This record gives sequence, C-alpha cells and structure tokens, in this order.
Amino acid sequence: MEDFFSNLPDEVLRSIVSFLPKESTLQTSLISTRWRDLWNQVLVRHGTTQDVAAAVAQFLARFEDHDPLKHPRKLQFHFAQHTALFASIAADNKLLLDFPGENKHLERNYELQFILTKDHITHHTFHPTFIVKTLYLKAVSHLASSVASSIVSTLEQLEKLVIVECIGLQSLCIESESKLQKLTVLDCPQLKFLHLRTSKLKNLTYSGPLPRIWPESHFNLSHAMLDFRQGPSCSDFKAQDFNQTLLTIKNCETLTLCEWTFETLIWPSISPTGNFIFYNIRELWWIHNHKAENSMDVLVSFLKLCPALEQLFVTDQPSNSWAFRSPQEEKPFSIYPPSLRRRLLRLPQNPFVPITGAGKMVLSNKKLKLKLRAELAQQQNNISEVPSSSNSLKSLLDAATPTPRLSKRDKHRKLRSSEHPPKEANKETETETEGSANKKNKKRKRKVEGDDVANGAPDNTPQKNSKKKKKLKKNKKKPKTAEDNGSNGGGEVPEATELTKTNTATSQDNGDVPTKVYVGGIPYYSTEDDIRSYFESCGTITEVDCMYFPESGKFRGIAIISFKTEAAAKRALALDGADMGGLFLKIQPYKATRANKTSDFAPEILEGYNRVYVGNLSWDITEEELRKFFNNCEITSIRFGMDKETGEFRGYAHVDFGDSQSLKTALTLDQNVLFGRPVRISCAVPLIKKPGTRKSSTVDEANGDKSTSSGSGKMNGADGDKSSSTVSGKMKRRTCYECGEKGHGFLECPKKQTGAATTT
Amino acid sequence: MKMMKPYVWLQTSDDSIQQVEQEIAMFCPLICQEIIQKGMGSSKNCAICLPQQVSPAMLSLILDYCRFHQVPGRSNKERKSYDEKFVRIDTERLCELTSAADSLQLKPLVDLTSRALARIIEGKTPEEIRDIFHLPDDLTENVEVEEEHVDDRSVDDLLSFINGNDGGKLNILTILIFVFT
Repeated sequence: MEDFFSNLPDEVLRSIVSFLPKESTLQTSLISTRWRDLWNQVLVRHGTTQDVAAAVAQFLARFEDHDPLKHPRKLQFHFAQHTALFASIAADNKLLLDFPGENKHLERNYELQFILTKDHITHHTFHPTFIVKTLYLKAVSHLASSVASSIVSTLEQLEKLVIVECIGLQSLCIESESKLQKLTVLDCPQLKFLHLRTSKLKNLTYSGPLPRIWPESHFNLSHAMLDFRQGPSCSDFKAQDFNQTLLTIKNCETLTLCEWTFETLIWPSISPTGNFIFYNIRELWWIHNHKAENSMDVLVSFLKLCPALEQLFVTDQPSNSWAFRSPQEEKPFSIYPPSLRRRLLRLPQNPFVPITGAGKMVLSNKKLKLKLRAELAQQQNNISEVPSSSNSLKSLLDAATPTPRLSKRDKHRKLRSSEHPPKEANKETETETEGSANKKNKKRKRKVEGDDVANGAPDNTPQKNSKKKKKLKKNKKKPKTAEDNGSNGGGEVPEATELTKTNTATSQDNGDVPTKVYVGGIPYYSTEDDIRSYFESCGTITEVDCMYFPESGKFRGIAIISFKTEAAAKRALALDGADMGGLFLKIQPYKATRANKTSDFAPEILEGYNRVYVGNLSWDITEEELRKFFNNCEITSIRFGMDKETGEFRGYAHVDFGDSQSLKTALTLDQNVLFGRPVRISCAVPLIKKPGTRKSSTVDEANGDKSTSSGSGKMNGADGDKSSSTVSGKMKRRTCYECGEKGHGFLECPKKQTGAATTT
Repeated sequence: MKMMKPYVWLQTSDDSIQQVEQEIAMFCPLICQEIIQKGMGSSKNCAICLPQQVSPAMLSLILDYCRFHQVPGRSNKERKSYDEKFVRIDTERLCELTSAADSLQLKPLVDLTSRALARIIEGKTPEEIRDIFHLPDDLTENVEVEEEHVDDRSVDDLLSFINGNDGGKLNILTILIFVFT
C-alpha cells in the first residue's frame, strides 16, 4: 500500500487535498516535502514576451472554479530579462497580475491603453472556465506594458479594473463599451493623463496626484473617491480642466474629496451660478489637508451643496484615519437645509475619533466651526493609537447601513414627544440606540456622551484630555442608570403600547384594517357566540370570521374579529395571552396578507411568470414522465430541485410553461396522482434578488423590522419569556418555511404554534 | 433471437485474461479509447493490456462500480448510497483502488475515492497521516519550524482567497497587501 499511495500522481493527491476542509488543507503541507506545496502549487513557466498573454489565457482555461485547488491557481512566468509575471486567481473571479520588476526600468515612462470594446477583443482558442471579472494590475513597468495590454484585451467580461503602483505610467486610456463598472487607480505617481472612454463606469477610486482626466462620453459615477491630497500632477492645472470630471461626480452618492480640490477647482467654476448642487450625496469623506484659518468655511460651504447628506467623515493629512461626524436628528444645524437627515453615530472600536454630534443644542455656524476644530485637534492626539484604519472603515460602513431603523425611531419619537418633555425624549432615543448597537460600540458611545457633557469647554488641550477621561469614567454610570430607569420603571408599559401603536400604524400603511384583530388559540369547541361574548367587553363587534379546517370543516381555533372602533380593537389586543377555556389566546393586529398565507401557502398567478412548483413527487420520477403528466401544456423547461450539498433530488420540480394557458391547465392537475402520489401543484414563488446593493438591503431590513415587531407580539402571547429582545438580527433575515414570512424561524411560526396550542 | 452481448477481453497486471461485457468496460475512458481507436479487445489474442496498477481484484471492483452506474434510470439517492457503501473498504485497498481508477482514467471513481481518502486524512495531524499511509518524514524538525514560518504569508494568502471579500474603497489596499506580498 505504501507503493500505491505514494505512487498516486500529484493530480490525484491534489484532488484529495481539494476535498479537505481548509484547515486540514494547511496541515497537509507539513506531511512531507511532496505534500508541502500540493495545496498551493505554483506553475512556473519560461518564455518570451510574446508568449505571456497566451500563457495567462491557458492558465485561466485550466483553472476550475468548482475545484479551485485542483489546478494551480498561481502562475509564475518569466519573460525577457529579470522580468516576471506573477498571476494568481482569487475568489470572486479575481485575477491578480503582478510584475515585480527591477528598479532600473522604473524611470522609463510609458503609456497604457486598454480597449475592452467588443470589436477589439482578441478571441483566443481557449475557453476559460474562469471568467475574470476583477483584474488587479500591480507594478506594471515599461517593459511589461505591452504584455499587460495584450492580457487585458482578452478579458471580455471585465467589470472591475484595479491598477496599483505602476511607477512610470504616464498616460492611461481605458475604453470599454458597457461592462466596466469600477476603476481603481492607486499610487501611480507619474500618471498625468487619464482618458476614460467608458459609458457605464459607476465607481472610480483614485489616489495620487491629480491627473488631467478626460471623460469622453458622459456618464454618472455613483461612488467616487478622488483622493488628490498630493496636489495636481502639473503646475498649470486650471479649474476649467476639472469641469468634465465635476460633471461626472455631480450625481454621486458617495464622494471622497480633498479640501483643496473643492476650494481651487470646484468652487471657482460653480460659485457664479449658485445652482450647482450635489443632490445625491449621502456620504461625504472629506480630506482636510489645509491648515488654513478658513478651512472650516470650505467644508461648510460644500455641505451647503449637499442637501441629502447623511454621513460625513473627516480626515486630515497625512494619516488615513477618519473622523466621523454624524449629527443627531432633533435640532438641525442652521447651516444645513432642513431636509438633512442625520443619524446617530455608531462607532467601531477604536480608530475613529468622533466629532461628536451634540444633539442637545442648536449650533450656530461659528460653534460648529469651533467644535470641528476642537475635535480635529483631539483626533491628532489620538492618531498614535490608530492601528489600521481601513479595516474598521469597513466595519463602520457596515454599521452605517441600517437606515430604516431611523424611520421607525422617528415614529417612536413622534409618539414620545407628545408624552414627554423633549429633553427627556432625546435622552431616551440615545439609550435606545445604545441598546441596539452592539456591545463593542457601547463603550465608545458612552464616551461620546461623556464628550457631550464635557463639551462645555470646546478647546481640548491634551492635558484636559486626560482629565476628561477621568470624567468619562464617572459619566459611564450615568447613562446606565438612565437606561435602567427606562426599562425597569414605568418605561415598559408605554413602550409596549407604543409598539402596538406603531404596529397599527404600519398595518395602516399596508392598507390593513386597524379595527380587525387576529385571535388564535381559541378552544376547538367554541362557537361563534362564545367568541362574541368573550370579546364583547372590548367594544362592539361587527363581525367574527372563524377559520375552519379545510378537510373536516371543523373550527380550527382561529378567528378574525372586526370591531367597530380602533380603540376596541386595541383593548382586544391588550387581552393577548389571556385565558380562554384553559388555553392562552394569541391576539395580534390583523394583516390582510396573513390570512392568505396562513390558510394555505399558494402564491398568486403572476403575469408573465409561467412557472409552477410541482411537489410531492416520487423519487423515481423522470423528466419524460413529468412531461407526459403535463401533456396538454407547452413546457419550456423542467428543473428538478436538488439538495445543494448532496445533489440529491428533493422531490419537487419547477416547470416553466410557454404560455399562461398551459399554466392554468397545469394548476388544474393539482392533487392528481402520479406514481402513486398526489402531486401538489401551485404557482412558483419568483426568486427574490439577494440584497446586493446597499439600498435593497436596507429595504430588506425594513421588511424584517416590520415582521419582527409583529412577530414579537405573537411570541408575547405564546410564551412571555421570549420577548422581542430575543429576536436577533439573524432571525430577522430568516424566512419561515411554514408560511413564507420573514422575521421568524420555522419553529416560531404562528401557524404551527396555533396548531400545537389547539391540539394540546 | 436476441443478439449476444458483445464482450471485450482484458488483460490484467498478472497476465490473466478475462471477458467483460463491452458496454460496462466502455465506461472506462482508457478501455473505450483502446477499443475505438485501436480496435483492440475483440478476441482473446488481442486483449487490451491494462495498466500495471490494475490487479484482477481491483478490476472486478471497478467493473462492479461500472455495472451499477451504467444502468440508466437510477436515482441520485441510490447512486449516492451505493457509492458510499462502495468505498467502505480498508485504507490499503482504497489506495489501490484510487491508483487503479486513475490509471483507467475513470474520473468519477477517482473523485469518489479521493473524497474517501480525504475523509480519512481530515482532522488528523501530519504525524498521524504519515503513520496511516507509511509516508516518509523527510521534513526534519528544523525544516518544519522554518517551513511554518515561510508559510505564514501563504496562510494569509489562502485566507484572503477563501474569504475573497470584496474590498470597498480603501480596503483594496489591505487586500493588495495580503495578496501581492
């Protein structure tokens, strides 16, 4: 056996390694010299400059996406003299090309031209299984420039191009019809001319001296990072040279801008008209590199151009750390347009020094200036303890996403402000968000609050800083007790009612009837009269709609009760969890959509979506037999449901029909027997797109929020211990298998629970 | 009258010759190639010479495998459970089988056995793996330590590869540091 195992070819060993989980994969490198590099083999090749493109193409063709360790995902190609190409494949269709060159070639300047239009793509004989969507080009030198262009010209599907540390690169021309969406150029100090012939570019990241940018066709960037803190690349740069670029960034959502860029290039060209406004900017990253006296004015004048701004990050030269300012909702600064929506700050652990949003006071222009300055000073003191900014930058960006909470909070606030004096309301919202933020942030936030307290004296010298820290410790306890008071004292009751209020409010938004309530868990033997008499005390009942089991026609313990007034419905909701004939009632606001979903999960026919779900199929079913079953319908395709992990058939299929008539005939075949099983046929649920962009994810979360609020209501009835606090973020995203609703798992499904409650 | 099933003649490593149904033998790409391209195996005299690694015992195992999978209309579940039982043999034979299957270019079986071998290796220390497969320990202690150090970078590389997180904005820098070093 010794022989057999040792004689296995590398390819087999590599495939064995590829089946291992990642941790074990690394372990195998310690078995023996032969195993050392199996997991991470580098293909070394030698050739001439002309061969490189073909070699890379072949390298890509061999790589298997499904089995990334089978073939080496690293290529080392030596060409010319002292020049090599290191290519490696990374996840998410990334290809990295590194040309580590000798220093002596570096001083030679060169130009790069990437043409990605269809006519120019050189088609090669290889058909790569790995489609490059992201390309990183690093350290392309004068010698390798032709190689780089010829490689890029074969990448038809390129969506993202990153060019880094290309010393000597003087002029860059990128031409792409439609695919290219992101362009990143970092640290190319000699770049003087950037010619963009792209129409779909959405994302531009640039760091380095400002080159002359020539966007040939008009396009709108949605994210632009223009980090020109090193100044213009040539001395005779005029404001009008920047006009073209200015137009492309006008409709940005996220913008990173240098102060000097705005002051010297943007401001002069827009100030006469006065109606040039960045309507879409939500996030502004401000590079504050002037030490001049009027530097705050520059920022302020820019902020005036951004009516939709939600977040502002400020940094100063030369470090990369960002200060994060995010003012509060209550009292808008006078300089901002009133529509400005602002968010409470959520801070990552360390490196961000907040420019504290003192929400409790109205700040004048002048005060804001003082404040910003003070914070910047303080930030500089703290810079020394900044480890890695980019990492937490991301966490910050992540933390910044959930916008919809704000709207919910708004509602709370409105409700509260009628009950409490405004100052207290302010405090409460603070504690509230504190609760929702994770623990790591908590500490930081208290500090912020502490800062608020200390803000009476805005000039923070470093000595005072240390004093402040002491103060902070003292202050730490304060918010906690406030929080405790909020939750232990009378706080709970109003909160609960508020919850129902918001519920009814949201249900109104959905077009639901606020006078209706859902009552579950009624004993089976109850009659309509019993229910009426039980709920009579709440108010006048106009209708009691009892639910029955479809098979037996017996009462299933659920009733929808319509009251004459909303107040009566609310009183009925207060009875949630009450005892009726030995069972605990579950009462919650009635949702119109719920009735359909709880009774039987049958999606409606969507026009143009002629796909049905066919369930309860026999294991031995074949496509032919299924086609025979639907012989009167025009079938375009059949897809069998497979288990994602094991690849096993799961007993259901999706069938696409050519027209809606076929769909309707197919639906009539529901419950017909096929292979000894009654087949279940219903309309398929259209695939919901995964939340990829920020916007859609926030919408998603909004939905999640809504359903949890109703879900928690349910759970209060079922078992009081499970309060809404147990509904974690994970749960919000989970979809119930039972009823298809978001916000609760299969086990907590209201449908299932009522079933369980009634049977016991 | 029914046609007699075509047979092919196969010669294993110990020079024994056996007769196998053609459609089953054709399941192995190597045999298929021999039959189609060279017209071999039609009689006992021009039997197909199988590679060294294929012993008669292994051949019969492989043919069993082919026989099962060659039948159309089996459900995935059946195939799966058959495969699972099929590789429930001792490690020694498993290695032999892998090597034989590889020599016959029978890729599905190679995958199956590799997966089984991977399951054996999984979670074990290098020391244990060496014991199981009687592999020589040609990495001395010193080298090993050094090796670990050298591999540090590769671990990062692998991690960044696994995570493959799409660095937004400034994160690109970190990723680059990871990958390009």
